[in-house]
Amino acid sequence: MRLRIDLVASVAKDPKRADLNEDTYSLGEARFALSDGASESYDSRTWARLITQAYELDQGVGVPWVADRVRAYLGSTDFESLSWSKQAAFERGSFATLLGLELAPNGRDVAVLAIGDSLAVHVREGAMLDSFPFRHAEQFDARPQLLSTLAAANDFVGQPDFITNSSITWSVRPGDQILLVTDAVGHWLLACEEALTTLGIVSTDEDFERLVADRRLDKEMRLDDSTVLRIAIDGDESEQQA
Amino acid sequence: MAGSERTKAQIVADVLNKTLMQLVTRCAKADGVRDYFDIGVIGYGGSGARNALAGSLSQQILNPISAIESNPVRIEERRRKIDDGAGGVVEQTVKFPVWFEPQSNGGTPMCAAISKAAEELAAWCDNHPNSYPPTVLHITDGESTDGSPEQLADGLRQFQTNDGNILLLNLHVSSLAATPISFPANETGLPDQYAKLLFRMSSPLPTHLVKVAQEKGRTVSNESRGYVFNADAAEIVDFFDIGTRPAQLR
Repeated sequence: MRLRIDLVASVAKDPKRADLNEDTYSLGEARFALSDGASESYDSRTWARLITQAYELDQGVGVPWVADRVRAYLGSTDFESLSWSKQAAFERGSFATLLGLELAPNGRDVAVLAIGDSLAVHVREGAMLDSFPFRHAEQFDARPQLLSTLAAANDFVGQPDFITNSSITWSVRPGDQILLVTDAVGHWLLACEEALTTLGIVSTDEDFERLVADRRLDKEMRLDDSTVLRIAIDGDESEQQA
Repeated sequence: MAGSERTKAQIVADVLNKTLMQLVTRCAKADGVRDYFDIGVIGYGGSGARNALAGSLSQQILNPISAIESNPVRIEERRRKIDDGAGGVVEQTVKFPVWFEPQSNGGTPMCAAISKAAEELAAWCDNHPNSYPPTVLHITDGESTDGSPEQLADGLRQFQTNDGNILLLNLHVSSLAATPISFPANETGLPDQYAKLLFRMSSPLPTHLVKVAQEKGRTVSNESRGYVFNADAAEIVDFFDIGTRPAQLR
């Protein structure tokens, strides 16, 4: 089987300021990553971009992986040249989620890595088979654990249960879909019964922009940067012929 | 001040500088400072109640936070040693802004100060009906010298935006050698009539601040009020941090 990008759409918190959108993603051949940069951060967009691009090249997220990314981030800034407020904000750190998806070596499973409150959803024939890391909308109310440019804030990555808590494997079939979404969309998908069907008929950026605008208006969707990656599971040609 | 050799005026100035710095820092991004807040400081003493900020910030009471960021009276530079990430140590220059110098002069015209705050914030609420309501952090070390402020405080708390009423939090810096008290739920145990008055003037802590205070290990309940008595320096910083945390800023 193989993974195919079917939809990529993102709407900024303020639709007139797409330049302030702190959701970012990286789309590889068989590996995809989505990240939601926390607003109360110095430069979460750069941090989010750095970790999604790194995941696309190397999915082995662990202590050395994170330390390398932090070093790359810190090395890109001349601290002493910053104004006082940028120095202080830089020291508060930048924070972002990381949601990764790849096809497992057996070709029949997908592996999901989830740090923070971005959500992966496994869809079959229009129904939600599973979601990760949350299954209930209320779980979005807790303060999420995020990857940080502050090394000390990433200690959780070194805990023995890190992989167990942050990973899941789903067996997939041709025709399945995996949705990777940031928290506003994730909360809506888990809170509203009709949400998955509504999102299912979205096929363009414009459709998604309209959907987000309408759901914000009726207060079903939280006001935040909102992103969806829809990945279709296709059979290999040999499987399709069989 | 409990547990400290420094003067109240020094501690209050340090805390104000640190609080402004923390607030600006929350709004500072790589591409500039976002105006999530407007901030004003009203000082009151022998010369009445007036704008306590200097320079261009003295033109109006309330200033956007980007203007606060651009206009400290001075920036101190301090050297520090940090880990260079490769087993060594390097020196680094860190900048600290200063907006206030310690000041202490006679008189406590609390009524004039609350009236001035009310005048400013009523206009602000009219102009920002959909914003998080203003928070007033009131620091005082004594008895009002221009009458009872209780009714004026009640009036101040009545102003509102669509998101709720103005929050009035009182920080009582007392010279009594009494045990500090944070966010009490009733007047019992408060040491004198001034403490009790300031307690009555304080807003009940809204749910999201109760949660933050609990996360910081404070004993608070849904009946707690935004009042702190005779706090030490760490508690004052906590008070400000809790008091300046809007519900939606993530």
